[in-house]
Amino acid sequence: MRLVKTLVRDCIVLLSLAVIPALLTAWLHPHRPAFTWRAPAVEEVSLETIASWPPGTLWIDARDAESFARRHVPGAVLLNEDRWEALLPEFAGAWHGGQRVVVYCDSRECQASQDVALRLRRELGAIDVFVLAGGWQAWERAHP
Amino acid sequence: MWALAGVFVWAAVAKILHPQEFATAINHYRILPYPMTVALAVYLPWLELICAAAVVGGWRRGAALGLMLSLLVVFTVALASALIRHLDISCGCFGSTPGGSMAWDLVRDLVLAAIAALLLSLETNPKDETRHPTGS
Repeated sequence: MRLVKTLVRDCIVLLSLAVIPALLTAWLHPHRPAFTWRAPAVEEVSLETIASWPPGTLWIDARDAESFARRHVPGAVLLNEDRWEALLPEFAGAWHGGQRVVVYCDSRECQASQDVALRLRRELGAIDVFVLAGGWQAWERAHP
Repeated sequence: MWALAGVFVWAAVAKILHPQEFATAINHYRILPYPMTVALAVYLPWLELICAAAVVGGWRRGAALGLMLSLLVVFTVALASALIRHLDISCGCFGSTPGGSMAWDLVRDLVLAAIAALLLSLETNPKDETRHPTGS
């Protein structure tokens, strides 16, 4: 009985110890997942995963035109929901069926990349659409 | 003991470095609501690391082995449920490191669980538990 009590007490100590670094991870980690109620509808992929893919990925910048003009992923095409109809032809000219598409917006908190990715799937049947985890901030950190 | 701790350290570090990918991997199992998935993705790897350190350092070793065994049982059940539901997913056991098949992952977890159970049994029933009668 004493052994069980000791084991339970020690388990509580170990379980509690893990809370501290976990909270720091949730708060400060550069690749921390976003705390949302709903899972992202479109799968998020990291830069490391994208780097392991064969070349030929089409990047979609879902931010506004000003941010795009300041700097964007080389070769990226601007496409956002505010000017969807006007910008879609450029995407259609750059994308060929079956090509992987990665959409990004500002940061891990923004929703625009998910919205654009979902719409691409729905309207164009682009199946291989992903969202860049961490968004533009993640890319900028990796390419200062 | 070192081998078991080593596997846990390897798994923990891979997941600590990429918690976002671990959250995605957990989410693919379709077992937990998303907020819990995210909480587990940042918590579980640290628990694995602390347990491994405790086992190696001999600090609260019994509890650490008990927690390792519990984690391995949970992982095994999750893997088995994914296999039964024919989910085409990766284990996520070592973060984004590509692994073998889910069946292989299941067997590996069962073997690790057996090792953890054996070590726990040795830890909680030490050989030198001989009784010395008093008063004679």
